[in-house]
Amino acid sequence: MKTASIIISVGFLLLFPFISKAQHKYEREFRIKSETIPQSAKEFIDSISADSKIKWYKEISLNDITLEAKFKYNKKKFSVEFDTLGKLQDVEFVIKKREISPAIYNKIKSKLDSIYQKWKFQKIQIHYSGKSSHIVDAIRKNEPSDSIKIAYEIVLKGKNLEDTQLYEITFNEQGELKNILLIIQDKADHLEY
Amino acid sequence: MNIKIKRLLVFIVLISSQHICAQTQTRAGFLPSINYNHKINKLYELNFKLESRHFVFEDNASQSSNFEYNYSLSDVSALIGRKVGLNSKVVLGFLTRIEPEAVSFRTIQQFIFQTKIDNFRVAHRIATDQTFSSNESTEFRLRYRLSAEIPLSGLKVDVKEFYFKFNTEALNSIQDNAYDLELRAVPNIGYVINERHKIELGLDNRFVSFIDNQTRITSWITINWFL
Repeated sequence: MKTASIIISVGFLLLFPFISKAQHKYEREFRIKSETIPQSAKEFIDSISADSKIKWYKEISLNDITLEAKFKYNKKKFSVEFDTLGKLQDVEFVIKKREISPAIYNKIKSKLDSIYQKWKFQKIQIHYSGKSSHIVDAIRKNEPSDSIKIAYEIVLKGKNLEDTQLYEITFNEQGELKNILLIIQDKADHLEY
Repeated sequence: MNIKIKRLLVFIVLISSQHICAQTQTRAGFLPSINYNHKINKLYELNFKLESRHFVFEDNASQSSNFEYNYSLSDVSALIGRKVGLNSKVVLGFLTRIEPEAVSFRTIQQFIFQTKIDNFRVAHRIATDQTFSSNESTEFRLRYRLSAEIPLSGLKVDVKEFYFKFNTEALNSIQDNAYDLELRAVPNIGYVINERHKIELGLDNRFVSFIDNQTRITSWITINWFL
């Protein structure tokens, strides 16, 4: 989710061109020390018993400032977001295509087929939101319960009539499309020339 | 890695370094550059670069060390790039090299593609070029450059943040049927001033003439301004 500094939201542009209006969303993150993190956020992370060192970041966007913990657990890359007071916002972690149930995957696939001529997954993340204790249970059991809300956030390379771009697309638990963001990649002239 | 291979590599490096030290000629100087990039549309972009070389030190094994300022040359290049994939482009262009008593021309063809490994952005550049001058035979080069960018704060490089960049390049050349190899290693510290401007300070180390046993090492202090 945090791969680009500028993300232009095109909402449902590709599906409903008449209602779309592009919005700019700026994100900037930097590393912070764990001493500055509210106790409640640290306690939540401690309850997961991460397999790796926990790295804390502050993320600033146009509308929001959040705190984010990144770590590995059960061989998966986790990212947990809190507000500045330490209240849990959501948990996301990277999954493989095969970890999406076939019925949901087929719905997602047919939607992507209808939008793009060609597409390829770059990254799939599952989002958990809800009560902290239920989320911890779901992470430990590696299986979400009915009491938590799920979403799939997919970064993909999509080719349409104009060209190939990178998109961030969100589907809900039922595999219904919720949002499409066009990811504007950072300039790389200093790496290329 | 197999321990024997490791020992062999260490042996080769030691032998090579002794060999180089015995023959090496070392030069040092400044290499400032201005690099202007202009996006024409979704597919095409232009790149203009002005770079000049200024020697301040020379040390030949058989002669004494010498600190003396010498302007060497200026390069002016113009390139046009076309996006051919999400993270890849083909680039064509030319370079004019202006020396105090000579001018030479170079045609350039490049294929550049980017990858990302966690927080590292990596760019690969495969290039060929041909250098034409009135007093030398045409030189043909085939080169590969790997550039890696590492953010020094956060997960990616943002405005008003520093980054570390490392370029390494191998250049194969043929001129008058003589083959030569040059290796370059260029660490840089960069700073993103704003959305448009970046500044870099680095050390461009060039190991020239590996093959013909007359290795020269040239180290440049580089100052790059990207706009």
